[in-house]
Amino acid sequence: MFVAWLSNTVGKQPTGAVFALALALMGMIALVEYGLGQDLLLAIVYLLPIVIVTWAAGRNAGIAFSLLATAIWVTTVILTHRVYTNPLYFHWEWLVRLAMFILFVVILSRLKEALGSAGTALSRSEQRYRTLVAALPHGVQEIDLGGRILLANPALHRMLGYAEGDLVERPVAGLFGEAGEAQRAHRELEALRLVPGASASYAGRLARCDGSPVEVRFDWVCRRDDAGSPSGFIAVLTDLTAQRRAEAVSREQQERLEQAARLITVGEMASTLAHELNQPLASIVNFNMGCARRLRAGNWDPDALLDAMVQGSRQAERAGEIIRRVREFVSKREPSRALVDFNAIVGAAAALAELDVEKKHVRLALDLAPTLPRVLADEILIEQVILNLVRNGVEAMDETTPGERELRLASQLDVAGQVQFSIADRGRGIADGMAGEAFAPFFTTKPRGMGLGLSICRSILEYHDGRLWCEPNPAGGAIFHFTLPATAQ
Amino acid sequence: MTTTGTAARVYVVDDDEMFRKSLHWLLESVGLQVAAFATAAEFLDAYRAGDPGCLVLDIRMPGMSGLQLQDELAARAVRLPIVFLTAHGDVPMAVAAVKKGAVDFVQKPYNDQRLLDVIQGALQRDADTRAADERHRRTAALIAAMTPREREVMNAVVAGKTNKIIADELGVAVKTIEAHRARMMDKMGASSVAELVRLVTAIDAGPSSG
Repeated sequence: MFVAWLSNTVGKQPTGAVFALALALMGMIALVEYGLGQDLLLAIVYLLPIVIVTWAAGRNAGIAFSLLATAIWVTTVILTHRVYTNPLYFHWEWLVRLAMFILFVVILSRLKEALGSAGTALSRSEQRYRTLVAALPHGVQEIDLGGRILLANPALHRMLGYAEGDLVERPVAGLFGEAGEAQRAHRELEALRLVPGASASYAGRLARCDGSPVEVRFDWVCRRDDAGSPSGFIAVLTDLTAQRRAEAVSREQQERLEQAARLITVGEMASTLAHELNQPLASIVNFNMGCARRLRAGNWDPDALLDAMVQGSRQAERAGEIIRRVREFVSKREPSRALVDFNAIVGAAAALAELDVEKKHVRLALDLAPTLPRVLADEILIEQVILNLVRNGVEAMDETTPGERELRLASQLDVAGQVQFSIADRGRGIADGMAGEAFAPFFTTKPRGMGLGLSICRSILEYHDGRLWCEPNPAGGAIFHFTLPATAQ
Repeated sequence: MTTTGTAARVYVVDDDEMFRKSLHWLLESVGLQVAAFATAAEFLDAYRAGDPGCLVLDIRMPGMSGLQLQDELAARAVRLPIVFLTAHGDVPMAVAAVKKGAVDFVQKPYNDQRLLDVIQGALQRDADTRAADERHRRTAALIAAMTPREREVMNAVVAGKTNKIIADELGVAVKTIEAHRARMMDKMGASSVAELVRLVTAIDAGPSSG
């Protein structure tokens, strides 16, 4: 308390005035001491001016006043002709007084120093916190229990279209444009009040200065005093407008991609279709003519013939199934090849896949050879192949621990001088014996997959005189590779 | 179509299981021996170099493609005749394969007779190749059994030189050359210079092209 008084009263006076006051005090004490003739011990009272001076002007001034006080005392002793039984006692007494004064001065100046540094630290941390709150891109507001805004940072003012400082002292209820929003906030805050340490997060709406609504995510916490009882609420408010817009863009992009995927699917379908349809058709010919030849030769076993005929019919059904599925696509696009920078295609595909990849917490690592010859390719088709492989990789890692979800995309020039692309995932991998199956049309491990992706990718690469294959990833998962012939230059 | 070697087989490599099964069924109906594989690697593991037969390959397969298997076999000096099976869109690829020495390609779906003819042709070619190789080996063995002098005389005779010229060149009597020449013709089993020339030039041409 004394310290507080000192800082408040003395600390704020000009030093000259303090010296004057201290000197006046000391003069009065000296007069009293002289008048009373040493009967009363007044040494302790000298401490008052000494303390005042020390606090206001520092240790050296304090020591000077200590010397002065001692001198005044010595003077009064001489003037009042005080007699000591032994002259040494006189010296002992003034020395003890002086030592006591100086001790006080030293302790007090130390105390002041300590207080000063604590004060600086406090104000520094306060400063830091203010800067942080002011610089936050999120709105921050503090309200008291009555709903009055105590603090609102610049971001909140900007978000709601108010001039800096306008929000403070307003009732927070005014920021909720709709009654429902205010009630919701009220309910959430009541709940927060009851549970220490709780926080409330929800998406809602606030009204801007001009009345227009803004979508916001609220993160409320309850502020409590030292005793733990609620003293107010602090909210961090995030403007969701940009996020909503990004989501819309992403949806749009997704739709466009799917459309593109459908187009190439169609463009490449002719080749895939020829191959895939010819497969069962050739099998049917084999089964049928195998039967015919045995019958003609008169060398046959009824069970074997029956089996072959049944198998043949199954192949016809398989062909029908392929046609049925393929009919869902319509042909439009003709592939067109040009000399292109392969890494640029990888980059473009990676950029397109980014949203997908981020959503699934997958780390995308690119390991591209710095100098690759150009490849003669249809950029969009190859991009779609890469995109398709990236998506497969991402989906294959659904069950992988998020921290370990990594897709590594690499390009290199292989020993045969072809551009080779590899994409390694850390997913569930390829079951034994499935490495070949994976490329068959309508083979799928996905609940909602068509099983056409890899088959089409393979067709696209074969159209490019390239090759697509896969192998297990030694680190777990699968690696898909493809090659594209590089141009001579 | 003449008979093929007893152990000749049609090796089928195709990733489509039903197709393999059906082709097996068809080829068996004409009495061919079949060994079918799902991948090029499986085939390479199972095939012993020198086994007679032919290879029926799907041009596109996962892993090592038909074309790559062709290259691999060439690298291993395996001269098994190859029949490629293709789909409509693969024709340029198949043409490239034929340029690299494949016997033929058959487009799926095919007329069974056409496929069988091509396969029989491939087996015939393999048999012919092996027979020619055998003949060459035999001739080479005969030549190897000659003395150096006999070989010198043989080369000179094949080059169309008379005994007199040969004797002059080698610095020996014509009589001696005549004796060498008789022994040489006997060892080669050749009854005329024309026959000798045919035998020796066949060797010089190397093994019959496959």
